[in-house]
Amino acid sequence: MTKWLKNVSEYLTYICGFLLFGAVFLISTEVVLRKFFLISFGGTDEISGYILGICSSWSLAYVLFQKMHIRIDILYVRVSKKFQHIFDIVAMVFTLMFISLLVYSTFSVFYTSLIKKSTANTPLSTALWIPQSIWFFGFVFFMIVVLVLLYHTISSLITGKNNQFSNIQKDEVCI
Amino acid sequence: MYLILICIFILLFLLFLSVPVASAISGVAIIVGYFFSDYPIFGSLGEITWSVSTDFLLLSIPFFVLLGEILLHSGIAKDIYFSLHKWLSWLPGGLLHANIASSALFSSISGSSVATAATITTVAMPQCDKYGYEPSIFAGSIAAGGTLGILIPPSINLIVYGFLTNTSIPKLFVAGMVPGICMATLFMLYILIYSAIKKDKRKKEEPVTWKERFIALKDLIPILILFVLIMGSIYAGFATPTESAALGVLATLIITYFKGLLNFDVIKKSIKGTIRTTGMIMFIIIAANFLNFVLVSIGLTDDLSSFIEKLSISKYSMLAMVTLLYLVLGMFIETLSLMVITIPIIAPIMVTLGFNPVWFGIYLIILIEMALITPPVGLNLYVVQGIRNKGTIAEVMRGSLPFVIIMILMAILLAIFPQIPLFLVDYV
Repeated sequence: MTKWLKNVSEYLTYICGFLLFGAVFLISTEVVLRKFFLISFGGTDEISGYILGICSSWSLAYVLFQKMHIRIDILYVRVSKKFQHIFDIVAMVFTLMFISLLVYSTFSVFYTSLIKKSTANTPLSTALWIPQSIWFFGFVFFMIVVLVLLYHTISSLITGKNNQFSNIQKDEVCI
Repeated sequence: MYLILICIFILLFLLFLSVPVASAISGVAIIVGYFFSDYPIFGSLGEITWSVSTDFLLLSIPFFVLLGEILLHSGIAKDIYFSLHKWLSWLPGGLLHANIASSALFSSISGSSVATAATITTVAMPQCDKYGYEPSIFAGSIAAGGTLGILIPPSINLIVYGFLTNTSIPKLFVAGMVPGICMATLFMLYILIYSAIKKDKRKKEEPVTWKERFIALKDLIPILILFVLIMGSIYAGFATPTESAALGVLATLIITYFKGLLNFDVIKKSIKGTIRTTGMIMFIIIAANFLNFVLVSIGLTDDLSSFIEKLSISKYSMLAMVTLLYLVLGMFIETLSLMVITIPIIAPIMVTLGFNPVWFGIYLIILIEMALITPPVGLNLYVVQGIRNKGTIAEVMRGSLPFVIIMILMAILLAIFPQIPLFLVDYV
């Protein structure tokens, strides 16, 4: 199950990547056309905005699997294995709290757009529920991953065995 | 006022329990919003999250990261190092200058100081042993050089600052240029003096002919093209920062393609790296945006501003306090998190006190740079140490210390002469 989720999170990452490249080409074309031919197809920024939204929510699970959600580990590295598991559980519970709230409130955004048939206030007048549903899906997926990893952490606290998902990794943070 | 103390306490408590930064920030928002708000505050979370995660300006972050990742994985970064090596190796301090200059150049384009420190360490460290440099200053110069990129435009940290404070990104970019170059120069000056006094004991390097130097120049061309394209398109007025970033990515693809360095593996690695960084940053920004919304809704931000005004302390003593605060927090908290947590609260106060928001942005970034190389939590130090994989971390820390002092000096200079970053801004 966990392995499967990890693979899915990686596929989602590639999709995000290709969407990003798509946004790059779209925006570049728009800029060049606007500058040299005074043509603008309009709506580029809107579509690329949706792409960022999708990348933001779809990437969360992958970031978690890669242990890239930043944690301050000053205390963490100084306590015993058992306490580390407890810290991991606290961390997961807080993440779960936030993501549940996000899932609940992003669902209501998407659902309201669907019911009211809201469209974007732009030339494209996109039906908002379409990008919003894709965006919403990312948060749901992240919540499922958090739940599964929380389960793993709790079971490793009980059994005392290590699991490879919850420890902190500090190198390779990229900013 | 006690409310702000409660917020800070909860936040620090969660952070030290190693709760992920985004979750800790939102934890504070949830707790404070739940107990201290008179009306249901969470109803708007969905809407504000939607608007922040589809913000066109923030799209420039993944673009700049992507650009840097492609340069990194295609190996263009290495070429820059060796090219600068040929140009600077005759100076006292030799390769140390190449460390600073290539870190400054590469990190400014890639927008990431940690990735830069990692790349340059990989290329440079073998040279350190080969020519017998003192390891501590060698490692220190890489760690410090990597921090320059968040000041020299284009810089992701400046974009984050601009986003959080509603300050013009083009203005911030142009304001970062002069202090960035000043600081790089000061770093190199320090190395010159240090090496002159210490009487280089290193082995003589092979002399480089002028012909070799000029041939090496071609390795610098890609990065110069990118810089001119990105900055030029912004200041010629035909592209917004995000659009210029998109042009930059496209140009990087074209350059790596014609150099024969573009392949499927490079793209794959770049995508993974980009999405990883983007997800991490966006989650923190979403959380910080939420906290900010809660704090503004319950009136805390206003309360705090008026409280500070009533204190009637002079703006410079406030500046000194803020500087001290960042120095201390910077030792323990990772830099991006430090920025998103503090900026929404501190920047408005400083602006109320009469500081120029652009100037304060630049000043703040210098403090943030310091945080990158001050122990115990200085990411760049660990990255350099992790890659060189011998000696002790204390060596790297000792080597970076003089650069921290230069940064403090630069911050003081900025406070005395606020024109340093601002004089170019008037032309934008």
